[in-house]
Amino acid sequence: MESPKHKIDAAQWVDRYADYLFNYAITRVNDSYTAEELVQETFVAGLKSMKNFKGEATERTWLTSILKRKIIDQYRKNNSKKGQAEVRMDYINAADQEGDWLEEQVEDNTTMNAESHLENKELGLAIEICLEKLPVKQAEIFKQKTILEQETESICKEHDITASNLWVIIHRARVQLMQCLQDDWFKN
Amino acid sequence: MKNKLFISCEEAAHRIDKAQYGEATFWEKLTFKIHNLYCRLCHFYAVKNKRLTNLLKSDEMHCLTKDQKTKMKEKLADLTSNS
Repeated sequence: MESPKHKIDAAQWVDRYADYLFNYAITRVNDSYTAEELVQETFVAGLKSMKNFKGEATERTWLTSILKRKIIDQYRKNNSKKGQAEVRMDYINAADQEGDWLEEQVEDNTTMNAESHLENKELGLAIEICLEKLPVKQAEIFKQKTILEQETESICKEHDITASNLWVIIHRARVQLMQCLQDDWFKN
Repeated sequence: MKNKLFISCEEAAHRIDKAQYGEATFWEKLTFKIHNLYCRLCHFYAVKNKRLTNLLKSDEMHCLTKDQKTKMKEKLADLTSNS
């Protein structure tokens, strides 16, 4: 019997895929709390159906397919609550999020066009895939500094490293990320 | 040598990175800019680095905090131990 190409390691899911799945979900549901819940539900569903994993796809692909179903369920739940079909749109800022109806956005020229928006969503995921290629600790420190915009001092304290070490890690991460994006994103 | 006007490529790269996070001092910015005038490699590194910063600053990049991840791990560990 041929052994599966990919194996499951559920203990690493959160470190490896949580941010990727969170990015995937947040661009589709436009709400960070819901996106976080969906990621959590995806991991739970993944754990429960681990025996169905055949190993033909990667863990990330498999988890993403579970997440897609969770997102569809979420749309259905939202629509059934409101009793009518709804099309979610992206809002310019948090203050605009009081309503969520398509009509409110129709005349809004400040939003991006559909193509550029889709491209940006894909870029977010491409960056996340590139970050996955970095060593876990390096990626974590890079995200804390760059995306979560945490202070250098607090990151150094948390990881017990010096500021010089942090900048070396950031430099290596940036170089690898630039290379990865150059190879995988800009060439396409 | 903190006040050296001409710096190495390694030092320039370090300062270029710091500048992307708004943590480079005026002197550090000045010295890497002078360095970039005569070093094409570092000049291109600075250009690409700035481009990367712009990409990362787009609204499409999100990530979970350490606390959020810890909670997720705990929940998954609970589920695993109960099953």
